[in-house]
Amino acid sequence: MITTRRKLIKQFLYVSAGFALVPACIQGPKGKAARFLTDLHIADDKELLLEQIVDFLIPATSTPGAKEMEAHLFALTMIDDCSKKEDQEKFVSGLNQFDAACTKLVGHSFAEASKEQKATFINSLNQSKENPTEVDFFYSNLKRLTIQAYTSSQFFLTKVKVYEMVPGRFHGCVPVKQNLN
Amino acid sequence: MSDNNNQFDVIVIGSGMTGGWAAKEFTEKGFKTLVLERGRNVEHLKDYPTTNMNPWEFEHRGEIPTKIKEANPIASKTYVFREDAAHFVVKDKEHPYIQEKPFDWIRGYQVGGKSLLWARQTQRWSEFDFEGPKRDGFAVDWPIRYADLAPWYSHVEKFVGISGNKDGLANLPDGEFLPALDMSCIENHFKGVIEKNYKDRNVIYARCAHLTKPNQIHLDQGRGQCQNRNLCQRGCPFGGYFCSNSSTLPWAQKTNNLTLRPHSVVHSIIYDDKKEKVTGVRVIDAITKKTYDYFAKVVFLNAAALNSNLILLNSTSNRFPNGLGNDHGVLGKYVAFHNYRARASATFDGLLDSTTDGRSMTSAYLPRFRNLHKQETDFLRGYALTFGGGRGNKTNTDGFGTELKDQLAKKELGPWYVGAQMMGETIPKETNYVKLDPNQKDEWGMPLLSIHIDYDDNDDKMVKDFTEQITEMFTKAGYTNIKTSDSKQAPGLDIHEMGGCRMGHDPKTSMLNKWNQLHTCKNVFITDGSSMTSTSTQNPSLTYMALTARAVNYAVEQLKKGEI
Repeated sequence: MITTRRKLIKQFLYVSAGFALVPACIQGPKGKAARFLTDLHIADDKELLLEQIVDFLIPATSTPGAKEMEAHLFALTMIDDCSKKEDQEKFVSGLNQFDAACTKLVGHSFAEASKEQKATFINSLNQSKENPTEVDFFYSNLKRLTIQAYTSSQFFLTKVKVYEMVPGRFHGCVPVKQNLN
Repeated sequence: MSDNNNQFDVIVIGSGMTGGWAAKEFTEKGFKTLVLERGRNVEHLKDYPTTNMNPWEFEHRGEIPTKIKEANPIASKTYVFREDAAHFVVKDKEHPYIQEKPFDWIRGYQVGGKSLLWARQTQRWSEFDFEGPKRDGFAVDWPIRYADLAPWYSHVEKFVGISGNKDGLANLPDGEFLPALDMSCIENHFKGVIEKNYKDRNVIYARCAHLTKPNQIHLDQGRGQCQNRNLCQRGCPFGGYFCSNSSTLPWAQKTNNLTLRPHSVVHSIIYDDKKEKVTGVRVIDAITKKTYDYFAKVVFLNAAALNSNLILLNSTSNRFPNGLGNDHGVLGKYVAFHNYRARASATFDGLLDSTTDGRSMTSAYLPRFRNLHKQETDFLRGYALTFGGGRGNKTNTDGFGTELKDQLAKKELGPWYVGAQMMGETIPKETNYVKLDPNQKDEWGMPLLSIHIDYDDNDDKMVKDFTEQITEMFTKAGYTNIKTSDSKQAPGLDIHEMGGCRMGHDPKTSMLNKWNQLHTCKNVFITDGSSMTSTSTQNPSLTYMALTARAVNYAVEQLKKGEI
């Protein structure tokens, strides 16, 4: 089934309104998220934006980054399954205002901003605020979940900070240098 | 399931911590034993679906989805209700009950019961504990003393495998121990401070049911050395901790004297008015809802504390219109639990050149020191406490990009963090009871249990004392950021509810004699938590197992003599 641009915009509007008149999961997004989300409805372009944000937060270097680990899909799973309804709504609302906020600060949507402009915008979101907006709420939760996805991934726990499922030992008091290997 | 054979020597109701032990002891001695378990079978190794799952294989990294939490407001309160073990915890809607006062009833309805989920902490009772009610004037006198149970503690400890140090404390007797693990730097530090500042307080290695070094008896059970995974609640592929599934039940199976019938909801214990004794047990098949009667010479009731009360209350006859053995209205009353409300945490900026390596399945333990030799405070009895700590990883999550990525990869240790948890004795009283609801029934037609249990003044005073004492102890140790809390959690979340069918000398004020035998029906024995006359402070499973082994031994003697 071909999804036209018109349909995409329609879905964007429905999602912006906080609910979907048409079950977008059936007819709409072709992204991966659509296959597993139950409460949330995330349009393809928003799924792409999420992927771009997590990629910027923890990029691939000589080792995989958050995008390679599909951290954005993990974030959506956690918001979909493990969040309260009001937090879900705030998250989606913040996601939908993200590009507008970015444009307001640096003159471009996140995808079209330069690396420096992205940095400026993300830096502004990284500041803790007295009255966080929905965009702040969305971003801080996405960042937290991105870090969780990355640091609990198979790659991280087998190559970076190795998780020992079967330690087979307990030494109660060892010098710190010995332990960090 | 073929029910042509419904005659056995012994019927054991329940397959958990004590049911498994009753099965082992009877089958070993040649008695054809039927074990009835209301839930599904859980076979060692075969039915541990999450045991080898890595962190990234859990869809929600351990967290329970909101919808499941909302459908299980009670079960979701317990610490084991996480993605790796929630399947072993009873769901609220499947097994409703009535809270006359708030009570979080945490249950494990499957073969092995809560022995799959327990924290494996084990301590013997001491003489100070058995003497408690008589000396301090509450509940009724225990009809046994430490000397009666000591050989049975040894018997059970050898088979189970208990890791511990010989500490030589009168208030916490030593047992048959496998080697203890190290205590950590911070536990030894705390121990040093406490033993220097308080002549009557001791910090010891917390004894636990883990095979730190298996003996032949453990290898014969098919169990191996604990590998310090600390994932026990999933079921252990090594059999490294004790549970019915890895230990007592397979042992009983090997004798060929065991029949295990899962999906068996016990309706009642059948009392034959003509024969003036119990002849068997009535079962409702959990799936088909059909009723089956099974017959035996002896019945052991090990359904778990409140469940055993329920079954007895539902076992009525002309002789016992108010429940089996309940001539004086004692049944269901004097239920108590452990006060787990109070906690403390702190940090320590010393010992920064050291850390731990590997993982420990236990912690440190401070046995009860209050009112030990005489009544000294404004509250009765006292509390034990666990103490543990470790060094967390200091992770900087500021910024973004390659800088953030590098920060996340950095291995930098934070200060020591410590925690302590109070485990307080509660006083059994008539006003804390369970009873059967006269109208409401569950899916199997069983009356719902109505629970009326609450904290009292003594509990509040104990929380206050713990809070003051732990603050003082932490301060002397040089710990900072000391935080204490009273969770005000409902009784039940301790998962140490006991009583309702207490042991005692006098049939007018107790249900069981010194052999855990119903005073008024000699071929019924009750050896789970319901039999407890008082609660003391110790984690109770070890005591339940010892009482069970002792009672089986007595029952066998009585059977051989033709007394029952």
